[in-house]
Amino acid sequence: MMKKMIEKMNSKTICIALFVGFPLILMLAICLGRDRSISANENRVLKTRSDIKYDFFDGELQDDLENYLSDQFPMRDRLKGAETGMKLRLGAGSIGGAYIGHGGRLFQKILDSDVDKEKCVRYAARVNRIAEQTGIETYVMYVPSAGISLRNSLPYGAPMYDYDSLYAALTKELGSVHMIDLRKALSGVPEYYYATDHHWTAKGAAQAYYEWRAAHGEESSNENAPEIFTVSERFRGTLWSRVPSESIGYEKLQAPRVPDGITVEADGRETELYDYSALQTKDKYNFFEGGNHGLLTLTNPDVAEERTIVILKDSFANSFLPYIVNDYSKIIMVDERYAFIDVAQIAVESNADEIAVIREIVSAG
Amino acid sequence: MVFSSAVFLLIFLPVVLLVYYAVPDRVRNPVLLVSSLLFYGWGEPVYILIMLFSTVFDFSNGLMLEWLDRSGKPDRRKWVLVLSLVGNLGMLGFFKYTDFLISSVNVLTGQGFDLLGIALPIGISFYTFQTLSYTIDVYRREIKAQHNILDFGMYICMFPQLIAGPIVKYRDIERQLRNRRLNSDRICAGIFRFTLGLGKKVLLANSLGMVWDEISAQNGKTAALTALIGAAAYMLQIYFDFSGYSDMAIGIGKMLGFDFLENFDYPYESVSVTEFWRRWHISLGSWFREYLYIPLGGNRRGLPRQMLNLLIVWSLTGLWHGAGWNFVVWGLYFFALLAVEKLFWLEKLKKAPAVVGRIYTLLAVLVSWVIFACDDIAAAGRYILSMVGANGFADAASVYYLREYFFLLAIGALLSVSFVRRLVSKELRALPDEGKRFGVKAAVGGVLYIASLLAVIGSTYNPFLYFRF
Repeated sequence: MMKKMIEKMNSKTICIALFVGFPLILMLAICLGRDRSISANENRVLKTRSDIKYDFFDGELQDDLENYLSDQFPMRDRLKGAETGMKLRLGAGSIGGAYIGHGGRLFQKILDSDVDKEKCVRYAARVNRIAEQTGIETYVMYVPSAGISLRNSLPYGAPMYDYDSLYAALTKELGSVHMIDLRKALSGVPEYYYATDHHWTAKGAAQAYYEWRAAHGEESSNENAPEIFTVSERFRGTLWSRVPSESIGYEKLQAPRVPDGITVEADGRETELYDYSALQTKDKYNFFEGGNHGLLTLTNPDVAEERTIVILKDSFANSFLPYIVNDYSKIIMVDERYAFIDVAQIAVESNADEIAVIREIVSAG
Repeated sequence: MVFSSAVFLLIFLPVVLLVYYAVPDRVRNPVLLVSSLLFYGWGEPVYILIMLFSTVFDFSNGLMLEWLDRSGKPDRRKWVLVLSLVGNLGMLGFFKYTDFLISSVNVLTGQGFDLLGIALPIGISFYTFQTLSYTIDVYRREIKAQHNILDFGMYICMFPQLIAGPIVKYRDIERQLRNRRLNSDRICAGIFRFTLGLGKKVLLANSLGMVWDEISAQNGKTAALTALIGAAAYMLQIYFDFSGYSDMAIGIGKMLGFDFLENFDYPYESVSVTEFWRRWHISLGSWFREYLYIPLGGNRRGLPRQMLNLLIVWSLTGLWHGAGWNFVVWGLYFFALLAVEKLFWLEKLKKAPAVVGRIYTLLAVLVSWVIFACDDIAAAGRYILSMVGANGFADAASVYYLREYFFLLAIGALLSVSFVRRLVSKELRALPDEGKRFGVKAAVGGVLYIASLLAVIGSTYNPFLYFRF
């Protein structure tokens, strides 16, 4: 057959040769090329040759090879970018789980079906129990997702989860805590959220800080907040990774100025409140404390009155933390996604004056 | 392994084709058998044993039937048939329906028997029906028993149609097991057909599937327009998914020199549900007709008996599709429609304009897919209620979904009927020579292939719906 084909090269045999040869050449190019170990665009480790376990009887071989070929496909990022660009030009309202809002602003698409309401309620009940058991003043500050606060910037009619009913359900469970409601403060101002990331900006976090102060019975105005400075002009966040098109520009990553003398220990290691090395990576939001940590302790010896707070948090709290460093001599932040820590115990043992929950409402589960 | 995976497209298929074309004729069946076992064993090595048992079991049954004929004991042949039926259906029943049975007993009696958690061997519903067709046909003396276990094994395990059909009857490819036509025309036709199927699956079905997933996850709380968009998306998804898979199977078959029968014939242009089932999953319909409906007496024993036969066939058709009560209800739903059509409705439809029949059929099938897709019947009920306006007829979200998915749905709808194919065929015929026609097809195929490959690489969203069966 092969011999005959060579003798009679016509368009059909060329077509067959291409169908058989092209994928093989592609596969060889992948296998002989140098593996990329990390995809900065996607914020994840890529599958490399050394990760593959060549055991036919192990079901994982299939996934390993499939992921390897996909992850190491030539020009993967560029092809994904081109595909995304094409979808944007065709007017797609959502790509890869992100809404494309007005002016190209990206929003995390979170529907009611994505929210585990029961889990959120259980979590709220647990926080309430901690407040009751320890008798420590407890504050809960749920952060509305960008798509909730900036509903008018979403594509018309784009569904989002029902924040109000979720908030009401959780508030019912949280009878023994002070609720800090951010809905009004963050509503309708695009610059309070990043356009390419799901987090709030330094300005958004500042608004939350004013509400925080008000809830603590303190004066609340712009004068109380520190100055904001630009950390990087070339920030593209996690939502951009879902919609990786060059047509979407960079934005500024900003942070409030903080005093010197603060020490930070994260998971047993000394670290910095602002991690400048993160600015050299794609995930620049890790500038704040170098990312998430199971247990982070911040000490500010310059605070006159000794005051300790234990914070249960997600990554929204990372950029909020700099605002409160002058208000507490010791801040203990616990991220339960990264560590199993008995919060009540740690609050009692550290003689905490306050406990707080700072997290996006849908992650509170 | 699935067709729409990088491993299949970049390694398995080209390597198998290369080896298959390079070796002499007589080695091709063993090559195909070995590659099919690799294909099957790739994901679930353990289940190869079940498939091999099934192969050896029915190969032996065939030989036994023949031997009983030769040795003058034809009256004992029926016991071999019974053995084959019990063995094959018992195995299918054990793997597919045990947990369903236990959970049904638990619900009915309030008991708490533990489920066994048996994993379903991929494709068991398909290859069981293939092996059964073989034994039954040998029993009926319509075909001779196969004496070469490698050839028979290759028929059962052949990777193109192994895991999602079409259900190829032994007698339809008996001659092709030994005598296949392989030339560049047929191989190219196969490549083109395969590429069309791949495009249907990864470019259309997967995108449509995401629409359905998103809307159905809202648990029947949407406005009617949103619910209809979701159901229409699923209706198109299941068509492109399944017919795409059949196209790929038929295409690979052609590349290897086989001719498999067609499995779909533009079912969504049917003017009645009766016609729909003649054009949808044709190989399954014809299997049930030939090996169950007609042996039960078909329509030859009076109307009440015909209705009973239909009830049996459609209950089992429902169950074949999945071990769940929604599938039983789905089967019974079609029984009711087909019974009403046979009783009087079909006659009325014949007199009405075709568009009436088309709209009725589309709506009837649309509802059926909601029952099919929703794992529990209450969820299907809620969804159907939302389709008729239980939560209002349209809202802002409906406008969003309509704007977002209108083109996808429109393209899907256009390609699900024969209009585009007829138009393209006409234009192609108008071209002056075969070379130009081939050039156009190759260009379209090439673009489709690259786009599909990129979609496979770029997407982790790649489940084949029909793997559940």
